[in-house]
Amino acid sequence: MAVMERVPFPLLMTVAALAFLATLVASKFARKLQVPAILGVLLLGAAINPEERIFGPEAVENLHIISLTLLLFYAGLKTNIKQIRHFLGYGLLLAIGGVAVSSLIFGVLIYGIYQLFGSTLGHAGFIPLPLSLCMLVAACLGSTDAGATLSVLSSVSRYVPGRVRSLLEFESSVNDPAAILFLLLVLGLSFTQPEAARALNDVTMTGVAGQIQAFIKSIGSGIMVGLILTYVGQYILRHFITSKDQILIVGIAISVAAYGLSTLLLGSGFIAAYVTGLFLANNIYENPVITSESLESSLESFNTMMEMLVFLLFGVIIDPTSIRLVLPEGILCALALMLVARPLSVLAFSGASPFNWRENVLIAWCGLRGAVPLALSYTVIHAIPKLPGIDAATTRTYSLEVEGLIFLVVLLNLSLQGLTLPVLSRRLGLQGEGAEASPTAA
Amino acid sequence: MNLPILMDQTNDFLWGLLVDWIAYLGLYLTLGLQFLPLRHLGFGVAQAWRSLHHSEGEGRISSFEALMTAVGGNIGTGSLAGMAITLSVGGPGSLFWLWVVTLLSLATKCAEALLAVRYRSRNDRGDLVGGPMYFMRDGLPPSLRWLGLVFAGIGSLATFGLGNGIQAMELGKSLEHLVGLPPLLSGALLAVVTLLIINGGICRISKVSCLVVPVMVVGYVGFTAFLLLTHPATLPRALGAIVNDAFSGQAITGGSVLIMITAGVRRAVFTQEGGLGTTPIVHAVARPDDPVLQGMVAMLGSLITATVATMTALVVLCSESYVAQQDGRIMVSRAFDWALSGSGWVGDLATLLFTFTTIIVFAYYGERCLEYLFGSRSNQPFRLVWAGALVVGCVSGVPWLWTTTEALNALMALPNVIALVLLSATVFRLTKGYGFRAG
Repeated sequence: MAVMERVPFPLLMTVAALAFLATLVASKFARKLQVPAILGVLLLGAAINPEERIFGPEAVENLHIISLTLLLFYAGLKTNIKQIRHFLGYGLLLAIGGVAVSSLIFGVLIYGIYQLFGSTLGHAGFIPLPLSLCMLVAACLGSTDAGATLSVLSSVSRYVPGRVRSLLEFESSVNDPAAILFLLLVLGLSFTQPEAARALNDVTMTGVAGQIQAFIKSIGSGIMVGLILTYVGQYILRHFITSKDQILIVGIAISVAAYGLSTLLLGSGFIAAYVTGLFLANNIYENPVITSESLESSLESFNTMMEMLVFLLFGVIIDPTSIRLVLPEGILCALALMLVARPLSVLAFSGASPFNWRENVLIAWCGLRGAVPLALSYTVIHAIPKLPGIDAATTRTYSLEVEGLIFLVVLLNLSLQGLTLPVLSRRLGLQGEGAEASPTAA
Repeated sequence: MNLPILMDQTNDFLWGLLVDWIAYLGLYLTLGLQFLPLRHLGFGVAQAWRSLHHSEGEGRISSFEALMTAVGGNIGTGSLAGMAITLSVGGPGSLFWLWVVTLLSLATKCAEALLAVRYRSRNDRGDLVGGPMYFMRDGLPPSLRWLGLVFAGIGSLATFGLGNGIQAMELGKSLEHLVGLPPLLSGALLAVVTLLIINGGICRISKVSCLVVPVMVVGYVGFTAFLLLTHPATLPRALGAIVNDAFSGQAITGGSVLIMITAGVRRAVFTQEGGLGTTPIVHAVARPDDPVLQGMVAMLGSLITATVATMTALVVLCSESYVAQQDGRIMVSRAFDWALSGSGWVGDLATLLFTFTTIIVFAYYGERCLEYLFGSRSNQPFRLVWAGALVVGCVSGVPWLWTTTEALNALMALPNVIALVLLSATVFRLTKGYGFRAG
């Protein structure tokens, strides 16, 4: 908080505004280089990176919760079930199963990399992450970002079949909540203490069962609270909206209320926000006044702003030492995600895939990570001191390592896959929109 | 780890989830139906009344008969001994929460019956049948149809707990208390009478319910009202305790509002079976084939059941017998004795009648569940087993039967809750634009 107190507020406002304007310049520049726009913003933030911390850790976490809530609400709004009607099953499998498979593999790989190379590449102050933390990092990085992928592919849309585009959009929307669930599950399971459980035989059951119950409850209650708030939202939209500019207020208020209420009732707030968005947009009830399109379009710019905020903020507040701390291993981890975990998770469900192998290769390479992992990283960092078996002395190092690792993986993922995607899609020789219809779903 | 502890933990695990979800489901459906169950309460009453003189259309029993049968199944030992136990666990405030959940789950009850009529079907003998397993089979997407099998499988087991074992145990005890009949004899008598009735199928079951249920409900509510009127000073005090305790939970639970709410919600679920998926099985075969009408009639059952439970609760609260925390049946009869010396037998008589109707109605529920799995050839063996289990239930009180039953009920409610959420769009669509005109 030190900087905030010393710097006069008008100056801070000016600087913040300039930073936001600069994100537009960075986006444009990134597009020129054919990398995702958000990569530019992330690097911009890192370039601004002040010596001192601007916000306290709590303010940062709260900002991330709010932006994540809105991102998930918007992800729900954008989940278009009708568009992928023919391969809904596969879409769900890829989004939910894919997160589980790739996160499990990736978690083990991070652990392996740290164990194998930690001693040879390691340097002063470096401690290999325990398996539970590796899993948590992997769970964070489970969700993909369709916006980033599609912004890169826009220049080569001739080569991207419409079906693949729909699948990627659907997958990236659904795997946001899936990744959060996986994270909750891993968090819950790492809180059960095996030592204490072994001493008292009965506690094992209660401990693990309690965590599983909490996990199931967080999903179920999240969904139910989401459904209830969907109805409240619909009612307000139908009866109290007199002009389109008011829709944004309803969207923000309903999603934030969904998060808050669900969390209070021991459900997952993010799931509630996602479900609320999903049902408001996919309209199980008739809504004569407002279409899902108008809802989506009025929130779109706000969503972009939130996304920019997450990237900018992450870049601004990241501790540069954290990147140095994970430098050699982080690169290996990023490569492991791109070359092993993601392709394997696509391969695992290829039996159910209605796509041919060329399309599958494209899907496997389109696993760009975006804002959700960055925002989720703070949930993990926040949980580190509470994890069992972690020394208070090493907490700081672990936090830095997690932060650096996630930053590095997202950065490399965006730049490497972003740069090579157009080349790959051209090479695969697939036909995109406007060309002959692609083979129909099996 | 032994079986009772395991059952206890399974119970806590499942009900820890379900109590919240059933309450949320009620709120969600109430909002989705735009408070329709509450706004058109009169429509349901009018239709049930009308079907007394004039009932036509496709179906096996009239709406009124269906309602009485369902209420006969609802009101069992849970509205008497169970209510006393709820008060001793959750305190007076749990009665308040029971009513909150009752009003919310009117929508659940309405939706269940509505779907059961909408998706009713015919069995291999061509008889009209219906219930959650049928709306799961025909309403849900193909990948989720197995939920119907799960529901029917667990349902056929759970009915033996909730509708047979526990009821027979209480019935045996009250018969012994009333006329000193030995358990084996009362068990055998009960088995024979039950077999005679359930062999006649739903028509005979509903005829018996139509005779017994109105008399016993009116008689019980009238008698308890009379008891309360003879003690005009204590009633305001009891009502005051309910209101004061509802948000603080001081009286029994020491400030734990959660325990109190949980106790109230559980009682509401067990007595009214809202969200459990049993009552739709009987409403499904009612005349006429009008889903919304049957839904609106079905939810009246919750109100009648809640009223009976409330009357018990008020007498128990006035007598303060719940503070002693003992066997539920004893708490009830002590409360009656306090109100009118020597009237403890009324509690036993009420238990006798209430449990008896529950036993014959649940036989129908269990039969339909088993039939869904094995076809109608399982009906006759099921009836014999049902009668046999009554004797066993009367003679030997199985100590962990309560907890096992609760766990099975939870497993039964779970697929039902999921199906109700998934099919809620159908419910909302069917009620939209329905002409709610009495007559």
